[in-house]
Amino acid sequence: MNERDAVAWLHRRAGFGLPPDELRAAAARGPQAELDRLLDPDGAGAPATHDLWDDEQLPLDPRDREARLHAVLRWLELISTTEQPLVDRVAWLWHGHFVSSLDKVRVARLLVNQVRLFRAVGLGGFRDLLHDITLDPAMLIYLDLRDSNRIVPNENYSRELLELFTLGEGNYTEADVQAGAAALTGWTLRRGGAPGGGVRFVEAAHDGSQQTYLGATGVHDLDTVLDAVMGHDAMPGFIAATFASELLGSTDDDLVTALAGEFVAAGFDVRALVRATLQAGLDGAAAPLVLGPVPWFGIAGRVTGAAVAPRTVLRLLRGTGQLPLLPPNVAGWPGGTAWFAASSLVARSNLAAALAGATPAGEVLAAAAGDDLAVLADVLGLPAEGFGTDSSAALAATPAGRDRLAVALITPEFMIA
Amino acid sequence: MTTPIDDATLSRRTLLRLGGGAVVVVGLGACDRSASVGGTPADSSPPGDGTGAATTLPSAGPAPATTVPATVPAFGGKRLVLVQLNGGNDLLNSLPPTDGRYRDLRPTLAIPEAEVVGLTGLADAGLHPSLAPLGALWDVGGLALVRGIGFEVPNRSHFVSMDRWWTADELSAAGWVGRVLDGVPGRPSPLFATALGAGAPVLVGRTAQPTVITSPGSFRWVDLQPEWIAGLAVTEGAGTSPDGDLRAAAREAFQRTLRAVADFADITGGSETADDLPEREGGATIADGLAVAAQLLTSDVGAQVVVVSAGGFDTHANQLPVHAGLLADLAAGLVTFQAAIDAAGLTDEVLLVATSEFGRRAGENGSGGCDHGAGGLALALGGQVRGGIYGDIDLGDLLDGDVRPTVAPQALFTRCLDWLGADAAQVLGARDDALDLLR
Repeated sequence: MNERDAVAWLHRRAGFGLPPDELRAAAARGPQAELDRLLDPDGAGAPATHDLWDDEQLPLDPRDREARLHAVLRWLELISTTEQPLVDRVAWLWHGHFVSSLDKVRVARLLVNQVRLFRAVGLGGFRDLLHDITLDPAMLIYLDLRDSNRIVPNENYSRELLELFTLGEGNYTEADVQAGAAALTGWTLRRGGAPGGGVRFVEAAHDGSQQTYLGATGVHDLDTVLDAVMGHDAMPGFIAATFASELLGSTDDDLVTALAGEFVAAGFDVRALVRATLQAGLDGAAAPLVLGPVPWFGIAGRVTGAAVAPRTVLRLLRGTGQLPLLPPNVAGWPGGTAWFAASSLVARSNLAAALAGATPAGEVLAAAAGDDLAVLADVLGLPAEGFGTDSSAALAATPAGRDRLAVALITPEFMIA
Repeated sequence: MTTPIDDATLSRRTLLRLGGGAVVVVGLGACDRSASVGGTPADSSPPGDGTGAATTLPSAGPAPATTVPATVPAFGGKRLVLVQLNGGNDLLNSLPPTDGRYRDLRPTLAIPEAEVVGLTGLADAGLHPSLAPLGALWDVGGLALVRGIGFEVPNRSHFVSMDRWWTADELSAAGWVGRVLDGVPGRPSPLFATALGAGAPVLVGRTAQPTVITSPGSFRWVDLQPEWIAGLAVTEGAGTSPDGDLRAAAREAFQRTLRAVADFADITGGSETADDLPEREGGATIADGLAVAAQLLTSDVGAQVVVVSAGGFDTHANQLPVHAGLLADLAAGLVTFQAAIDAAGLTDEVLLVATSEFGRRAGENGSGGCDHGAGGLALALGGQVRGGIYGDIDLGDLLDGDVRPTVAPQALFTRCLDWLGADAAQVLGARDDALDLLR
């Protein structure tokens, strides 16, 4: 990769793309400097603070549909405009990993606060993140920990903590799930679970008996559960594999082992893991990756500057099968070629047409109106090789201008990073 | 494993018979035959004349020829619909047993005795009130209920369990229907195998891919000309770049999608995708999916295998209202589906099977719900189904607190493969003839 392509790659994988002028400026800084900048956008390692949600529009009323719309649409807007793209890209990754969903949680503010959590500490220590997400109100509701008590523990969170969040299937037993469920009892929401009441620990609901959990003895509460999870041999590789898959499109065992080693060496610092992952990508370890509809939409929106009517975005993204805050189940969205499902492709294509229709006059629209497809590929942030033969023929056969831009956004070259 | 379906295989549809005549229900318990003696339709046949029932199923003679699709290329015209109730549907509340231990296990969640809907000839269980509409299908003998279905050694992970169901317990193999689709000769219609609501790994073969339509109401190009898209579907030369495989996959997907959209143009089922947020996990309702499934099967588009997926069944908390809504959706969808199939004269050509990855824990948790369990519920619906109850459960013999599975999913798969005229022994490695639920 040349330096410009490396920078463009970083932003397509670890951010949400860049418009042409910003990409040129970033390319001039070079990939290493850009990686540093992405990992630490304000130069102070400080967490993200600015966001676009308005709490006044997020009342704590589970019946408020407008609040849910606000939560989803403002996140999409944030993704398309963020000045901390890697922070938001990793928050998006965590949203697909530590899944919670509006359809169960209902109260939009709680989901928004969960995303705020990912933005604030998603690049910090993994143990802290695990602690905070376990006690996150939306998660307490989504995986039912708030209702779990020593008499009749609820296994939902305990199971997914191990299966989906930290170790992966095959690395724990049913007895571990039950022991974890017992040890995690007692955490609930104030005011009888009324939204906004905050989290509290009810000693009377907690089963403090000593459990054997993941091979550790004496496990009896959240801290000892987290100790056992953090100390489990499978954890670093499971998390490293998540990042290798999401950011590099790779499931290579050697790569994952190497990244897991970096994660351990860095004391389970997520930022260090992300840095190692992206560095490996810059060094040639990345495989092609199908962009999910939301990252693709973020990139397309950023690159074109298009502002599509919110309701249209909602309808078409719903058609693609990927609406923020509404994952299909606790495992999050299936990735890869699942995004080539027929109706997802149709909805994405229609969304591309809507984006093209809403693209303001400027460099991108001019390139789509011109004859030189290499220029179009360049402004869209594609690698120097540009569009392949097949896509070039397809684009040449499409009327120049918005129609051609729409087709360009759904070429394999643009959909696959 | 591959399963080529040659002409010889296709001609061996020994189980399929035309025109059932009078309804005689001879269902036998799958694993414990004593179960069928203890109050199943086997010893008390439901009324066969369908009096008062809103359905004509099962048919008693040749189908009216008028609306049968002309472009049916495989399986001797048989169609299979699989309904996946994702999340783990609760067997015990779907089919509340009269066993007193049920009420002990479910002090707050048991369906009150007065609300349980009785089924003619079934003494030891009834239906959840939301499933009451299925009574008419039961009464005409076209509904089979299989209780206690599940793998002998269960796994309580949703995703492992779903994988096991999809692949007939050969993880990392192709879907068990996909193995059959791989062997279908020629180039079937793009809607030949269609997944509605979500992707359907059960339909994915080594080469076969279903057409996945999650939003049927919006399955058309807007502000795009198909000929522009056609340019993206050209497949020559795609393999030359480093990401050639994925690009080729994208191009093939566009090609399939173009044909599917064109064929789908006449299907009007399914609501247009709303510019709003879905309220249900996964978005789709069962009734919506089944309405589109019925349209696909009764239109001349060559659809023969349809999977309808819907989520929301993972009722760890607040189960009573949630499950009631889900089952009402299922029941309404099934009744409307069967009416559409009957009206099209396809009663004897369509088999519908509904399953879930596991049942739920026999006892309730502290959240007004039930955790992941083992033995679950499957149902089969169609003109060639032998209605009745299959399988048995014993609440006095739980498996780690779960309903012990007594019917292997492979028994159900064997019947589905028989239905398609495929060689079940070859597809599954071995037949399992424990469920004699087809005529």
